[in-house]
Amino acid sequence: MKNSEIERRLKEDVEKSVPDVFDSIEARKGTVIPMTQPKNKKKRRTAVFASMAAALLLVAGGLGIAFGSQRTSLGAVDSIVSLDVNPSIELKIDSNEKVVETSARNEDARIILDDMDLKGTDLNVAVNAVVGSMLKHGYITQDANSILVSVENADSQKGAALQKELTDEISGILKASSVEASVLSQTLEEDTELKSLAETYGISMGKASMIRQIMEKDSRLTAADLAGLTINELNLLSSSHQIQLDSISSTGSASSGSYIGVEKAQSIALEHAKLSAADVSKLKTELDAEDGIMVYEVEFTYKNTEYEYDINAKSGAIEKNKKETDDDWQENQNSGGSSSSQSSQGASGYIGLAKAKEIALKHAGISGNVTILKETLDGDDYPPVYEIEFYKDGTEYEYEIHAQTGAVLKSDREREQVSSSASSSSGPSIQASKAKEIALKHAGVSASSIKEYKCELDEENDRLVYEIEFYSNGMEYDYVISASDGSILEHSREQDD
Amino acid sequence: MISICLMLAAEQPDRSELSLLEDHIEATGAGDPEAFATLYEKTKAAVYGFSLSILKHAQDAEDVLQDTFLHIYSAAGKYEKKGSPMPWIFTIARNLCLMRLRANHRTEELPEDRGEAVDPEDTFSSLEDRQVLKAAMTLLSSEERQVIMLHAVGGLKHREIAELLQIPLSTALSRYHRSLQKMRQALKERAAPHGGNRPCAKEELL
Repeated sequence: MKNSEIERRLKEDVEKSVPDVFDSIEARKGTVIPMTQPKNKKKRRTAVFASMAAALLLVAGGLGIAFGSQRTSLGAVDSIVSLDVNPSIELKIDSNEKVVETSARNEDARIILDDMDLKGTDLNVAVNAVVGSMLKHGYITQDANSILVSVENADSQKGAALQKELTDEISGILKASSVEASVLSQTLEEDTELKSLAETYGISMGKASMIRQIMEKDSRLTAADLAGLTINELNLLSSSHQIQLDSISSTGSASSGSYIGVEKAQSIALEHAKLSAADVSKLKTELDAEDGIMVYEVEFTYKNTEYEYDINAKSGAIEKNKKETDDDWQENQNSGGSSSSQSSQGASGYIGLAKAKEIALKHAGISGNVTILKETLDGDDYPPVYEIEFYKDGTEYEYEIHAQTGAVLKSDREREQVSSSASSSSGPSIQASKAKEIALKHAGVSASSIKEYKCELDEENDRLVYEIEFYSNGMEYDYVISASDGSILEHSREQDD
Repeated sequence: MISICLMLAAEQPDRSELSLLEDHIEATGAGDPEAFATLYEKTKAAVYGFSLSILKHAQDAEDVLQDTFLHIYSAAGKYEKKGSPMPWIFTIARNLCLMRLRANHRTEELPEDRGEAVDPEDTFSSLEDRQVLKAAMTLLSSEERQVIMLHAVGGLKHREIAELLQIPLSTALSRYHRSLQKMRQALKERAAPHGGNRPCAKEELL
């Protein structure tokens, strides 16, 4: 059965199974479904915040109505102020610092704004109301105390003055609620590259700017890893990686109160490895983001074995653990059981990591030094595979090698994204037909032999690409081709059985 | 993005379908009951399938289906058009699913979530006429199932799936391929139980 056939039948099956609940929905219309729960909120503190914030909101609400009658006097948009915590809120203001428009940039922000009408209010009143609501909803707490203020104004001096004013205002509000805040602030300039980064990940320009600065300083972190983090998490990550954010001023420091802490993380890892701190050397711990969650990365060495753990920074759960002894190592994605420990040593005729690496390199047609990004044995499924990822000359290679036969089950290569030479607004410079020609030529198949050809223009990491898929002679081909210069960014081919 | 949509209009009929869905959300916000009913009809399978893939529990998924549309109904007025409403709808469904998992976790005080307590073979054994769904429910991990469901039933692109699930694009792609591979294998075995397939029949020749 073909992939597309499986997908089509899955869709049909689901459609057959959907219960009809429309009448119940109709009957319950108007019921408010509470959404995002603030994480790790501390009951006692929140109660205090709630009362304070409610007071702030009342003030803001009252003023809002008063100002509502003077809407006619609103001028053109002069500055854009965005407030990011995790809720991301944008306030457009006129030259008299009155709010012209408010917008919620994410789901959390919609909760914060709820039905607040801030149009026509003074900026400081609006900021009070927004920050108050963030306190009330538990987004800013003693344990997650960072807020990012970004100001866009054509006049940079005016922007800087506004930045200072807002920083003082917000620090004051939070201090009054007994939160030692860390207020990060910046002024932004017109920047199309930044805009497309913000749009790709659905985040504010301010947060995009912070993320871009972090990525510039630490190339291991990707926008995909960072975009889902809160400002407090980004703030913690920057300090843990000793990253100086040059164009962001900050007051106070990020709180890691909701995290288990370095020592606890180390002891969890050591306990799992059944070792004590005295046994091991090169013990190193760093806060990191993996797949959008915050982890402590704990590394240590015992005899000739290197251990690496990712410990969930909040729950202390072991997200990932890896152990490497020369050629013999194992990795378990921790899916909740301790039963997953598997011995790779001499296991039913495995070819070994070194051999698998050799096969992958030979297949890729490269020799010499490569940077190994990942080398693990995945024995959870059949067949067991060595997953090998490496990097050489701007290209990332990804392989799955059958652990027993040494067959190459999967190969993928992806050229590193060069910082956007092609702005997404400029449109593709090569035609879809040209991209098809490139893919077919690379695959070595003729246009008449292919079936189910699909081509999609898409945006990937700020650049326009064609995603191409087709079948030929029982194989399925996937290509990602740059729409700006026709280069092949990714390709894979597998048996369509 | 508008220019892109226009350019690919011929190859991508479902894009205009998506902006039509956005119109339905807008109209729902303005109080049009017809638009809400249409929106429900057109997206219920995607929401249900996705919820099922996370919760692995038919009754819970049904509850989330209801709650998702109640939330859409009350939030429609504040929805901002952005080309496709599906990521927004799935974000709501996902949050509701995760809340439900946390709630189940709290009330039962079990170390594993309820998905494990209920044997999926039992829950979905009645699906004899729905082999593909049954295979997806029983063979795939929750992560794999979410990806395949979002692609097949939700119509999301891999990039949108990666963003929604907050995973790198490469992870989304490899989960997708792995899921299809597993399902293809299982369905083939079912079709020809004595077919004697090699378990590692897949060799890549590039």
